[in-house]
Amino acid sequence: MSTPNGPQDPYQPSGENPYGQQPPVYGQQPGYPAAPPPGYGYGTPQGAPPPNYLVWSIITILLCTIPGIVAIVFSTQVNSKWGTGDAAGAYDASKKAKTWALVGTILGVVGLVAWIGLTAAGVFASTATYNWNS
Amino acid sequence: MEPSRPRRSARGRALLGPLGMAVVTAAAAVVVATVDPNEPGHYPTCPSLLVTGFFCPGCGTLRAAHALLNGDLAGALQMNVLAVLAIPVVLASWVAWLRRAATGRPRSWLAPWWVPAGTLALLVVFTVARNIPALAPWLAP
Repeated sequence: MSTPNGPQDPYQPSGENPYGQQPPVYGQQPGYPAAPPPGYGYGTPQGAPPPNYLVWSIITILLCTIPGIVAIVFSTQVNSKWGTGDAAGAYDASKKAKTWALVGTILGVVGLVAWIGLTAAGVFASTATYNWNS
Repeated sequence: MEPSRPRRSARGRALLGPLGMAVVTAAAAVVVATVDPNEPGHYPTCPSLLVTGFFCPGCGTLRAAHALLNGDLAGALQMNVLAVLAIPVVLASWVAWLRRAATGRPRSWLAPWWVPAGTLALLVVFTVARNIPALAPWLAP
């Protein structure tokens, strides 16, 4: 999640070619003679990884559980696909994680407002005073 | 400096996300700190608890937040251990978000796959465990 400074940092202040410099390829083992091309095979792809929206997904669980869990599953796919060099798949999973987190957030907020409104209106008068210790 | 102008406004717009989130969170914290969720009638009962009768992984977060905002760490841990442990992670994530927005630098690192997978597994285990009556004294809200 952090963005460490260093010679491998892909960011360049000029802004001309932010993805020009290559980050270290972690998948390179002694058995592999050369780094595989980006997007195929193993090793971290070049460029900026996609966001996995993991924290948003977790917060979504508090609002609306099921879409939040789906979002976390796609968050996992972002990291696993990026780790195996599938940059396109990682970006696709990132988009899906965002969609599900957004769906969960919207449903949760709408549901929450409706729920508070209905409770205030006395629709659930018999259940509003739920006894937590029972 | 003509060329830097659109870039600066883009930075300003990028900062709206993390800063707006901080304002909304602070406002919610003021409400949760002052309006006690332990008193019946202050907040409606969570629909998922009311319908299913089971504690979801988020159950007790409101009461944990209230306890924590009033300096009661032990009480907060008793309400929802996982929510309290998640706070440093969420804060670190917010700082990284703010930093990316302020500097304009793209993300340069992604955690290994088992970090989100482990989070999901932890949530599932926590959900099951806190609904087991024998474990309820520690894990249930």
